[in-house]
This record gives sequence, structure tokens and C-alpha cells, in this order.
Amino acid sequence: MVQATLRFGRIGRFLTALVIWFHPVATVQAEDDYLSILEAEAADTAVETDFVSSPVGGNQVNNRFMGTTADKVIVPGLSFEDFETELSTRYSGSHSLYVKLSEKKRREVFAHYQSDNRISSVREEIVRLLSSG
Amino acid sequence: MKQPLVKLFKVIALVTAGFLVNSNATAINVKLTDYLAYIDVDHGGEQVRVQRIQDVEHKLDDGFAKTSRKCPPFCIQPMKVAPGVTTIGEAEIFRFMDRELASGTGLIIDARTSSWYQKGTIPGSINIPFTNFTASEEAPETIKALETTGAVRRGETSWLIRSFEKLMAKFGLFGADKKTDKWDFSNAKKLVLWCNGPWCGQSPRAIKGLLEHGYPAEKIAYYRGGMQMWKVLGLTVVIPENTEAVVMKSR
Repeated sequence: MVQATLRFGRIGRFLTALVIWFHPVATVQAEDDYLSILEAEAADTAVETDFVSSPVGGNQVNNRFMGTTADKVIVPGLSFEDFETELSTRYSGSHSLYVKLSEKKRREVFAHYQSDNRISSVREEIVRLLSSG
Repeated sequence: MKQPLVKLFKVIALVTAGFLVNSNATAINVKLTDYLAYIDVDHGGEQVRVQRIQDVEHKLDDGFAKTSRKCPPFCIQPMKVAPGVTTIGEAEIFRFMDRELASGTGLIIDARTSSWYQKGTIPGSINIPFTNFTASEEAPETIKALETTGAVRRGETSWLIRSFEKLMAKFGLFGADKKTDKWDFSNAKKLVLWCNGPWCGQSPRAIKGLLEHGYPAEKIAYYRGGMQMWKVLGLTVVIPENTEAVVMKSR
């Protein structure tokens, strides 16, 4: 009986240590998963912009209020390095997923950008490559 | 002689103002509230009018018309996100825009990741993704995010002073309850945090992160309706021209 209690105690301590040891890793992993799902959902969520309001004074030419998110583009003609910098400084959410890709897949994203530089399209490509394993 | 003239001018001014308010109000059939037709707010240095879509036939036909998303992670959030934090609705946001935001004593924080923010934000909001509040205390993005709110980073504080502060904090004296080992929140702004709506966990995470860093709960409000309710009510949305968030995630 005493031996069983001691054995349980040791196992219990071992398991507790294991949980404490892996807790931060598990938390970071969970947050990364959450961010990936958020990004995928954002990419899937179309937003209506027909009724976007105007600034006071009704200056309708200001594209800040009239632009559509679908038309947002990454500056064309960037080198691979500049493309990565642009992604990290302007599109932090997409970049957080992009950095998880292998070098080969990053090059694929870059090739995709060269043919279609809309951020929505580049983001979809990142999510696709990420989920393809 | 001078005083009656001043009085007369005041009356004329009031009557004129009344007409102006009235003429504006009659032009808007779908008002914000029964007492407010619209409100102008500063958004990145530009005045933006917050009002509702005037077409009474208009219906949502985009991603925010979607009823169901997988839970977890898109689970329905409780009304009370944390003890001491107030949950507010749209009318309270308008009042906050008119008072705290206009006077510079408050901030409206869009706590969503940048990709959501780019799809449109509530006028007057700044984008600080929730990850900036949930990162470690020493992370540069956390420091920058907290400094944006008006919190001041403290230098080395002696054990004696901290002990005294902790004691005073128990009695709510000398503002000691607004200080932690690393931060002084005495002059921190009042915050309204929001995300995509009742099914969104981003602003609740941001709020929990803020509280863990010691941000006073009474200075935080949670707009649970978020973008979902904002859009359902046909309220003005700003498509950010500059998609860069105020605080970038550095990871």
C-alpha cells in the first residue's frame, strides 16, 4: 500500500513536471493554430464596401473611404528580399504564417505574387501552402 | 445697453444653431439614436462622419452576414469578459467618441489581426492586434502597445518603495493600485477594445493580456458587438489606406 502510494507519488510528480515543462510550448502552439485559423477565416470573409461612408465634406475621390479591399495590392516588381520585407512591415498577419513555410514554399509564394500581386490572393496562397503540409 | 445686445446675439445664435441642427437631422432618416443623427470623429487626422446607411431596404450580403463559424475557436463570448471590465454597446461608443476620444483621454482599439483590420475598421479606432497584449512583458511589441495607451514604463524601483506601494494599493491610496513593478498606469487612457463581434475571441484575449500586465480594469471597456453589430446597424466603416498596424507583431 505504502509502496503503491510512493510509486503514484513519483509518477504524479513526473507527470506534473512534464506538464509544466511542455506548458509554454503547448501555449505557443495553440496561439499559432489560432492565428492560422483566424487568417484563413479572414481570407474567406468577403466584405461589402458599396456603402463605405465618406469623410466629412463628402470628398468621394478619397480612396481611403471608397477603395475595396479586393483591389489592395503589394507593390509590383519587388525582389524576393523586398517582397519579404514588404510582407513583414505591411501585412504582419500574413507574414506570421509566411515565416512558417519552408524556403521552397516561400519561393512559390513569391512566384505567385509575380503573377498576381493582390494581397488577398497572396494570403490565400500562403494558407494553401501551409495547410498542404 | 451693452448687456441686452449680448443677450440678443446669444438668442439669435441659439436659434440659428437650432435650425442648423434641425436641418441636418431632417436630412437623415436613419439616425444613430433618438437624440443623435451622426457624429464626426477624428480618424488618423481626418474627420469622418459616423452615420447609418440611409437605404432602409439595405441588407448585409457579405462575410458578416454569415451565421455560423466553427467553435472552437469562434465561440460565443460572455457578456462579462473579466471582473471590473465594463461591456458596452453602440450608444456608449458614440458617447466615448464624443468625450474621451475627442479629448484625447481615451482610445478605441481594434484588437484584430492586421488582415481583419484591412477589411475595414470603426472610425476613430487604431489597430493594435491582440497578440501585442498577450506577448511577454519584455516583448518590444508589448512595450510599444502599452506605451501607446499612455502607460509609463518604470525604472528600477526599490523593494521598500514597492512594499509601501503594495500596502497603499490595498487601501486605494496615492494611486498605488495603478502601479506595478514595471508599469505606471496612473495616466493610462481609458480603452474600448473590440473585434469581430460576439463570436470573436481576439479582444477578450487582448483584455486578459492587458489585465495580466496590470492595466486597471476600470479603464477598460469591451465592445462585444464589434464589427458584426457595427455592420448590422449599417454604421460607417473606414477602409484603412495605410494598412500598417500601429504596433506590428515582431515575431
